[in-house]
This record gives sequence, C-alpha cells and structure tokens, in this order.
Amino acid sequence: MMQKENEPSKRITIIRSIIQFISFFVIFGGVFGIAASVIVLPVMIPAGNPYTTVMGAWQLLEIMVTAAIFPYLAIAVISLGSLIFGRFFCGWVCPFGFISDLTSYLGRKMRVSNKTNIGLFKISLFVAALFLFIDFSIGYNEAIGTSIASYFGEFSREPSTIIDPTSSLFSMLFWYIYWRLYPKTFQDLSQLTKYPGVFWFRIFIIIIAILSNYYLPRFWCRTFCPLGGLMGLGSQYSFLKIYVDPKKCLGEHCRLCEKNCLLNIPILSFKSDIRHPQCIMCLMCAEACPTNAIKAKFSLS
Amino acid sequence: MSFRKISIRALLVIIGVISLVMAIKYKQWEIVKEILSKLIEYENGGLPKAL
Repeated sequence: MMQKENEPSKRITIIRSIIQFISFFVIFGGVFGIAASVIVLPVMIPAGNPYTTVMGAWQLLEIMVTAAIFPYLAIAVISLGSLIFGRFFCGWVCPFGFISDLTSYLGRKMRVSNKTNIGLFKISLFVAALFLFIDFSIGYNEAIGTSIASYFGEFSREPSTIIDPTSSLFSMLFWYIYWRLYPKTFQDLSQLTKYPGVFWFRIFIIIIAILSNYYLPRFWCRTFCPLGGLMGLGSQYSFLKIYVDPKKCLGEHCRLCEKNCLLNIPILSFKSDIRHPQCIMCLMCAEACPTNAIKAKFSLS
Repeated sequence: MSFRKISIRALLVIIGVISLVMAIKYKQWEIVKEILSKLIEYENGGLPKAL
C-alpha cells in the first residue's frame, strides 16, 4: 500500500489519454478517408469542419431547432446518453475536453469549493437555457413565417457558436488556416472577416478556454458548456456510476481521491455512489485510491 | 432507491424512448448525413464570401 502511495500508478491516465487521442482522430476521421456517418454523440463536435465524421448532439439540436424541425434525435441522445453513461463522453471522448486535459496536465491545479463548483454548473445550465430560448425563438418564427434569423446574421443556425471554443477552433480557425487567410501584415488584420469584432471575440474565447485549464482543469466544460449543463442534470441518476466501497475507504485520513479529482468533487461526502453533476467519470479518483476502494460500475439500483 | 431517483430515471427513459421512436419515424439520421456531407458555413463566423 505504501509503495503505491509513493509511486502512484498512471495506468488510467494513460488509457484515458489513448482513448481521447483515438476518439479525436476518429471524430475528424475524414482526414484519413473515413466517411461521414449518422452517429450522434453527446459531446461538442463542430459540424463546420469538413473532416468531421460524427455529429455532436448540441450542434444537431441547434441546427434542427433553428430550421423549425423538432430535434427528436438530439433529445434522444442527450436524455438516454446522460441516463446510461452520465458524463462519460465528456471525460473520455470530447475533442475539446482532450485539449483541456492536455493543458491541465501542464498546469497547477487550483481547487474550488463544492459551493463554487455547483455555482459554475448553474452558469452552464443558464447558458444552455439562454441558447435554447434563442434557438426555439428563431425556429418558432421560421415556422410561422415571421423570420427573425436575419437579426442573428451568420449565427442564426447555431447561435451558441459565438461562445463555443470547439467550433471556433475546429471550424472557424480551421478555414482561416486552410484558406491561408491568416494575417501576413498588420493591414490584413482588419480585412480578415466581415465581422472583425466577432472574430477577435471568438479568438479571445479560444485562448481563455484553453489557458484557463492551466489553473482550473476543465474550466470551460464546467462553467460554460451548454451540453455539459444538460448532461449534468441526468448524469446524477445515470446507470454508469462511480462507486466508493465504504469498507475499503480510509476516509478522512487519506483524501487522495479528492486531491486528485480534476473537477474538485467532494467524493467523501457521498455515502457510496458519487452523484455529482460535474463528475465526468475520468476515474482520476480511482487511480489515486491506495486501497482500490473506488470503481466504475453499471447498476440499475 | 429513492422516489426522486426512480421518477427522474423514468422521465428520462420516457422522453428518450419517445424521441428515439419519433426520430426513427421521421428518418432524422438523414439530416445528420446531410449536415456532415455538405459544407456548412454556420460556424465560420464571417469567413469572406469570396471563398
């Protein structure tokens, strides 16, 4: 046991990183000739990138709602996905989550209290509600023939892209690099886009969303991700869950699980099943546990 | 198992299954295929039209 404390195993971190790496290249598999599929996953995947092979549930929801089509498929993926897998896909598949984790491995982990953490989750719920309201307003007006889409310009089909670093990074910046539109002189800076203010705002969001992970892992995921907010609601009751064996747990004397948790979840405050809206099932707690008291399991109870 | 947990799980199952059945009925996977197989500009935020 002492040996394990001195030399903590990195097995789960390595496996998770490999799965995130493979997922990243499968999601953008068009580069390797993988054809576009009809798979929808509960993660943020930009649809504007030409190499994307799977669809993100939030992007599908927005595109369908603003086109006045009821998003049955997106709702099914979000509700059943959060019920069965919780936020597993956030921790193991999401491409922006992968980039966030790579940055956070380099950084110093700042800790936040559970009260703050829940507050950040509520902000993500507010972001989700705000954009759903905008989406349904656009969709409803499209349906009754009083279109308000022109007020939102090019953001009328996916309004949340304005604050979404995933689409800004993998769609907008991709095209600017693909078409070699990056500025070569200072004069070029003002001619980059029809909306320079929006462009620089999105660049600012990308920089903040990536660099903030240096201090607070998964900052954007836990604070602003609208899909994370929706998934967090159902994930507290998911069939896949993290279980702490109270017989094996060393309790207050140890706390290695809480210190190692990426999302600062107060693991020891739960009796056995960890049910927290911010838990992305990264299993960092299980990796740190010296007595192997923490496990992921499927259970209907 | 608490009443709250059972009721929320039942609600998610009902919403999910009904949505899935309706998605199959209206063949919504064809929309996914269409979105992923064409060039969409929604996310590019003012990319010059000349391109």
